Amino acid sequence: MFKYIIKRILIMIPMLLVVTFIVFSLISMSDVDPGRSKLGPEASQELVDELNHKYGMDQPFLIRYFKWVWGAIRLDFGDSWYYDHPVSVDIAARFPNTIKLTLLSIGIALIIGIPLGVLAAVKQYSWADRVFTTLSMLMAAIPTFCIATIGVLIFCWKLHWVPATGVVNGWKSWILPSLTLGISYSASFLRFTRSSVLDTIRQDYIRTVRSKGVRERTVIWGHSFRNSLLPLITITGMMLGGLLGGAVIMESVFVIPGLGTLVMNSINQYDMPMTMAAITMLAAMYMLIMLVVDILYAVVDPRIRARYTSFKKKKAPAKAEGGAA
Amino acid sequence: MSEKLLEINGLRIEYTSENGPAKAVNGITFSLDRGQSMGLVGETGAGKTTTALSILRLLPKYTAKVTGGEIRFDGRDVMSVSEAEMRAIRGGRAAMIFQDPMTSLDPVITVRDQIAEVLLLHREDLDRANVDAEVGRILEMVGIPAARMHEYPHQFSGGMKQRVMIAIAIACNPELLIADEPTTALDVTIQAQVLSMMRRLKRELHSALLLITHDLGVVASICDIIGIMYAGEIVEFGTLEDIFDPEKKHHPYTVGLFGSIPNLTMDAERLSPIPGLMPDPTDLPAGCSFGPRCPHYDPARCGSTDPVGSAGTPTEIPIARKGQHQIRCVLYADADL
Repeated sequence: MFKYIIKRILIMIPMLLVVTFIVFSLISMSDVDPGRSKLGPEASQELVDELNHKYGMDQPFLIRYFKWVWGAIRLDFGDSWYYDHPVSVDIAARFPNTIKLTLLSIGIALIIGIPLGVLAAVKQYSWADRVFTTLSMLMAAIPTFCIATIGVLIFCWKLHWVPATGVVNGWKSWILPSLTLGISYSASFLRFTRSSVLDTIRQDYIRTVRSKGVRERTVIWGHSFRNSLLPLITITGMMLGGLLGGAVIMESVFVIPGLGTLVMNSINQYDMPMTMAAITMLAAMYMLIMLVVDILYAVVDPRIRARYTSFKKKKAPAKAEGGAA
Repeated sequence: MSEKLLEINGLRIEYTSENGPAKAVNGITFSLDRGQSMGLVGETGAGKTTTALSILRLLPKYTAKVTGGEIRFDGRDVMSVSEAEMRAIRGGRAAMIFQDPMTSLDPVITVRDQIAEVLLLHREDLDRANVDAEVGRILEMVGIPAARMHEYPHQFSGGMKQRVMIAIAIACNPELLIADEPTTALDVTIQAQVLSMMRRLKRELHSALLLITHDLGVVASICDIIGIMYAGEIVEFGTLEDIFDPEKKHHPYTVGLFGSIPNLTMDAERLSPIPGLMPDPTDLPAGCSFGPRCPHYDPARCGSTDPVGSAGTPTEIPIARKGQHQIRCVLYADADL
């Protein structure tokens, strides 16, 4: 298992190289003149050339890319072309916000979605099941920004319970954004949990567990849900990854300075160092999440664990026998 | 404590299906004494497993319904006991071995935990500290080294998994052991091992056994009494001697069943399978349900082969009895047996 984790972390290096190369090429393909666009049409050509030289834009594409990689290896992502200060300052300021919003919303989504999903599965065809599945369809059908706007209208402007925007009001500012995202994502969790539990609850081994005289609560949570965890971990990982980079809309609606808006603005401002740094950050996070997902698979399912440790296992019995003798 | 451990009287079970109610069990009656073993034999779809599941009240909640009759376990009506009392019976006083060991064990939980779960529920003498030793002892009883208790089901072969299933079932010394085709999913050499082990365990534990199978050879090697099931009815019932004696009278279906088994001493060119198929349980014939396949079929006495719906009232088929031997067929009167 340990070996596998090391291997997976090492594989991240070429993967990141590929991702950054693609993004770097895409940005470079644009025919924007960064020096000209920063200094404006009135600036003299000498000044523009000087700035482009400073940005390294007078060098060939591959050399610029390798210079960027060399910097990135030393965690030096360069200065922002737009703000003229190190991009790490902005990344460091915004990254915690993104992480906070993502974890809070996924946490809320799990807390709401999983118990209701299990309940809907256990009481299949009951009124509760019908209400929950209909509601979750509704939530999935309404775009998140609609829910967000309605939320702002009701809870900020009418009731004045929470601040509408920004992150300056401490924990209060996180309530509405994370609840909005969390509730909207909980709909997916509810449906995934429901179908996953419905699938396991019909398995032969659940009948075996019942035949042992186990109480229903243990049948559901200790056996059926336990076996439903695998697909749930998968989609939790995917949603985490999606939220990290894709909460742009939420960040805009609630004016949260996060990585999503940073990427968007830096692309619009043709701020190459900023874009590269932010996207590299997101890609690395996504890969780490996927690694955690794969490790969790092994924790939850012994059959997957066996695949990772099969090499070691061949030796173990021989050792045990030796010890016994 | 009554002598009769299990009594089933006129049990009827229906499943809901798209084509109307499927009558899986149609008024079966039998009883099982303590320590006795009974074989329930029949083709796939005869209602054997449904009967077995109903004894532990494990029928699927939404699709199956007991529509008549009663089940008594040690004198108590299984249908009317509370869920908590039922849980105390399940796994404790009555345990079940399922057909397919490949899918019947929880894949993500160790064998030790699966056996310990039933032990901790029903055995008051055990707590978390000494349960490991008992799990080991039970595993050794079914021929699995105790050292393997911390392994997962996927690390065991099919035969070993069935041994684990049996270990779970016998863990609390049940008074009644229900085995639903315990050897069907196993290959022949493993079948023999598992069977001889079950014979030994039954002797050691003094449990009553309800063995469900379609294999007459399995029944002959382990059972005292036998019920032959067809389309949800017991068409013939008797002791091992009654059923396996070719000199005695038998239901045409029993004769057909034996005709589909190869016999070394008989000079037959080929096996003689019973022609036709089991009737559709949503559309049972008004007369004898074996009528459509029976070589002795007589419309005047056996009733119509048309479904009850189109042929009116069902014809009652008489049961001929002598001692324990019973045959549900118009060919015989009590005196003929």
